[in-house]
Amino acid sequence: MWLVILINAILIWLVLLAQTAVWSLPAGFNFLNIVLVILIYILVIFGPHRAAWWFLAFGWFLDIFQFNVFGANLLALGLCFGIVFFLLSNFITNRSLYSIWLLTVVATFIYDGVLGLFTAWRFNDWSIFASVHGELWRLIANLLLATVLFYFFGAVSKRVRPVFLKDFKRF
Amino acid sequence: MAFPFRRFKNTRLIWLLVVGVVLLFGHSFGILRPVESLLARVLTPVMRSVTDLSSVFHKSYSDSGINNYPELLSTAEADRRRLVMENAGLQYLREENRVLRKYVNLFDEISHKYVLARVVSRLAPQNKAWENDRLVIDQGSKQKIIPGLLVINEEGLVVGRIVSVKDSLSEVALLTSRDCRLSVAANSSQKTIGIAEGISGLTVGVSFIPQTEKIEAGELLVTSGLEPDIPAGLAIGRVTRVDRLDNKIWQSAVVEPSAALDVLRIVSILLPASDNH
Repeated sequence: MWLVILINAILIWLVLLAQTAVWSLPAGFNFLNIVLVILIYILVIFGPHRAAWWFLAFGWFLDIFQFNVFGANLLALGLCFGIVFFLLSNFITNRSLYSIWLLTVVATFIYDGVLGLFTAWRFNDWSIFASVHGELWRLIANLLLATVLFYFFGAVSKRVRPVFLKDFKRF
Repeated sequence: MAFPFRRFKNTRLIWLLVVGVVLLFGHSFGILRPVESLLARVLTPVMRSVTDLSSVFHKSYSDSGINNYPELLSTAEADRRRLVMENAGLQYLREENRVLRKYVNLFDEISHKYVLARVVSRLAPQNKAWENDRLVIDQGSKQKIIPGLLVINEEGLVVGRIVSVKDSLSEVALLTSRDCRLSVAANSSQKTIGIAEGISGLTVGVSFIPQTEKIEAGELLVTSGLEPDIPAGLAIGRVTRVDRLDNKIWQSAVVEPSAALDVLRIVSILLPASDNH
């Protein structure tokens, strides 16, 4: 069990490092939210039990290394987990690219929206919500990343290929 | 038919909520601060290295739009000769040494107490840093850093201001950030002329310049020293454009920062004057 926790902790740390590298890229490139997209894949591929701990761990780590109100990332990622899991459980019928896109769109809006609320409150500057094109670019960046990861996971595993109704298996 | 997910057990959900609440309250009441500080201290060295690598890409990307090729060619040739002579493995350490020596010389001149800090990362765009105009550095309140302090580079050029502080990390709003405001003076007159404030993460605007002030493009602007804890005479940038309309009360100007804000690795925070003696 401890080995599993250690491996997961190392993986979480590697993803966080990748996200740190992305933040330091020029404006535009830094819109990629690797953490969020990876979390969606963890939820889709490994199920809610492992994903929930990943969401929690990322929320805590991001709160430590970022300067928003402490708990903002925990709350934002917690909401993302809840809503994405709800969509997966009740509406999504397969693991196709379109399903992943839908989940990415929803998660991006929720995560950016919640963090935006905290940021606006912290700086008392609500004009940040006027920047619609910024959110659009972040969405496009995340969708591109989700697409690349879809084909990557598709190549190394069978878990994200489209599954039709007759192929349903409980896992 | 919906996705065939296993049900998420209520006991697990309760466990997660409990852990989440413990993390939040543990932070609020300071119980988890030692753990958080330890994590920050242990993990920041790797983050710094990753950020350094990204900064190299950032600089190459920023330089790709430059058109003065003859000058670039001569600089590149000089760089090539220098690099051939240097041992590649020692280059990073040599550079760091050079920067630190510059800081020592600099602070001999301006006689101000300071704290050196390394850049850990930039800030996530969701935290009002869409324009890549915020840094996280690896020194915090334990080193007596407080919000509002000035951050400079190894040449003594103003980089930005501290916005918020944790135990061993601080957030810096760069000069080009809207949250970095400084009273500035023209270097020629040393008289306070206006308030500098970042514009869209790209450049710096100076507003509230009285119509009676004569300011021209090319003028070097420096800190005025009007604010507490900020010494006068530190270079901010050169004026590139002046907007002067006769029917307005104030003039405004656009300033290009003197410091290269894309490639910061080590910065220095000037401590309050009360800590100097």
